[in-house]
Amino acid sequence: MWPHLSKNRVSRIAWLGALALGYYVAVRLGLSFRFQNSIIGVVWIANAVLLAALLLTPVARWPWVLAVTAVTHLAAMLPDAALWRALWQIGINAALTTTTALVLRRFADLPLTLATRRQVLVYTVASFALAALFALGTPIVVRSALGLEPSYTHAVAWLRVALSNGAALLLVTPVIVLWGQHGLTPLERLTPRAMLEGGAIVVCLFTVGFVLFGTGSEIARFPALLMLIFPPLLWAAVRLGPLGASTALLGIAAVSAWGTAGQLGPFVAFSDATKVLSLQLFWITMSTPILLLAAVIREREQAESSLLTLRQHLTHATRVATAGELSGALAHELRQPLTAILANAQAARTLLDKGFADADELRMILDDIALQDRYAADVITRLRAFVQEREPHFEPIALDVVVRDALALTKALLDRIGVSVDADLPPDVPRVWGDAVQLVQVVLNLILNACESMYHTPAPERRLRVELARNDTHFVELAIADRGDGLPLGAQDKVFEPFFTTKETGLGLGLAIGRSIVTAHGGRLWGENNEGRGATFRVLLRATA
Amino acid sequence: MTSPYVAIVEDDDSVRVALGRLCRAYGMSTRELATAHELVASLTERRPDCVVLDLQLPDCDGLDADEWLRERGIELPVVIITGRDDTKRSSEHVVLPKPVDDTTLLAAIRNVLNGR
Repeated sequence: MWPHLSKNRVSRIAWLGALALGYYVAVRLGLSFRFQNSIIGVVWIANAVLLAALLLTPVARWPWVLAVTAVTHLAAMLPDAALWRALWQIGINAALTTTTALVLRRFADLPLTLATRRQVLVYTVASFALAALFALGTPIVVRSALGLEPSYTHAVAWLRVALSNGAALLLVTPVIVLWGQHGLTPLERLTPRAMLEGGAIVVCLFTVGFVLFGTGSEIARFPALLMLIFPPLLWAAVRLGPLGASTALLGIAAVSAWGTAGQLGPFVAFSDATKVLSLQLFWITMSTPILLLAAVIREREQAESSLLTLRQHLTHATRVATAGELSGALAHELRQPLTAILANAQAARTLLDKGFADADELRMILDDIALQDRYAADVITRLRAFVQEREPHFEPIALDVVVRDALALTKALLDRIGVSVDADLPPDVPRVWGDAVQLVQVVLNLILNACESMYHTPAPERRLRVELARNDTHFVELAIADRGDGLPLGAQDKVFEPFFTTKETGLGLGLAIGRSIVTAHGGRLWGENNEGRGATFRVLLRATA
Repeated sequence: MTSPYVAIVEDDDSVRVALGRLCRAYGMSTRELATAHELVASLTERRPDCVVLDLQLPDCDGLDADEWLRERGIELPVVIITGRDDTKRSSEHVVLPKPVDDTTLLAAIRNVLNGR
């Protein structure tokens, strides 16, 4: 059963040792946390530890887990209980926890993360229903039904055992399982700000906890004060996720148990039995909504982040598509230096063969070859930078450089269709906060759009004016004016809708993606028809200074 | 023909200069021109034996230039070079894709010169 690696064996033995220790402490805690005249614990943590251990191990190792906890159970119980009772408890606890673990494995999409509503609901229902069911088989319930336990009716015994186990499974198991899966990595990954917020939540929780459960019985006269517990718990659920929420719930449960046991807090006025019931109901009613809220928030965060990833993929895919549209022009742009390099090299070779070679001329030829080579490399580098899929990287960006890059990428195309470019790009315009590649994509799409709109324009009139200026103290404006067909009258914003296109080729995504990029940069992109011919598209972006 | 006189019409400076060097290395004399207009203007001075014409010129299409010359009765052997992929329009001409090898270019020039 154990792998051959001795290192693994040592760590597994250590793990089982830790389980035995944890289980022992849990049994002793459960035994000590009982009110007078009761042999049923308020919360039977030992079962929570056992269920957590089962959830954290593969089924093949369950016999070891059950064996270790059984032996520990005997060792912890025997001073207080008869052997037959301890063995009975071991049997019924093993049945409860393995059944719960099997049901969760079947229906809850383990590993347990409590990050989906479904899992929280399945977990809550399964742990409660099974705790209630298996309580029927515990020694105390069976014996009170037979009239062998004088202190309880069988219904009361059943209710108390069920709640004791149910509360434990609900409050303690998630904390052990979630921390057991993640270790301390969630803490290590915290930013200083998140750590500060987490600290503030912990301080609030304990402050409220100690005010509510650490003060005298006068607090019982203001039951509404109990509501104070919710703001910090909701804060934890919203900001710290399932791990933080379940830990916060356990913390509050511990503080309330400690206070009630010390005859403090809002429940002290009641009899012992009612005290226990109040505590249990307080924990149970509080847990499920808080865990559900944490799951809803986590689901939303995950939906948002997958949407963001999807948008990044789409942005990249449209960039690749744009590069595809440019490929003919880019091929031409590369063939020019390649032609020059080949002709130069063959000219030099021929001169050498014929013995006409003059050192100065050869030097000039070689210099030209190097120059053309660098030019070709620049074309490739620019294209690679444009189509590469990468994480967005926001930094202060000089828009004049962005526009020059976009013009360089489209130079061959502009030359081919005979568009003359008139660019006014003062270098002293303030920088904007943005992602260079995405901004090049925006400008490039606008240039391509302008080129396409000038298809019907006579060649000598195909002009593009690109103007960059500081709009006011806070904004930089880039205007790209063409002399094309202009925007459809009365529907000037329609061109920004996805899949809106007036041409036969193309997806109609260029302007839509352009607008979504600019919006994500906190800016605006819109188009308007010119007085005379064509349209002007304007990009407004916030200046960094 | 010992030393043919070749006009090279190409708007890209580096390509024009390099093609000129190549032709001269093979013993031709050359005239380097950037536009079709320059070509037309140069015809009044000395008529070239052959023109190496780029298909894509800033002032006009290389084929249009050739047509323009023919309409005016100026018969010049033309070798067309192109950086574009589409060479459909020019089936009646020799169209060489860039980058062009020296042997290919020289053979094409020789062919059009002999065909005159």
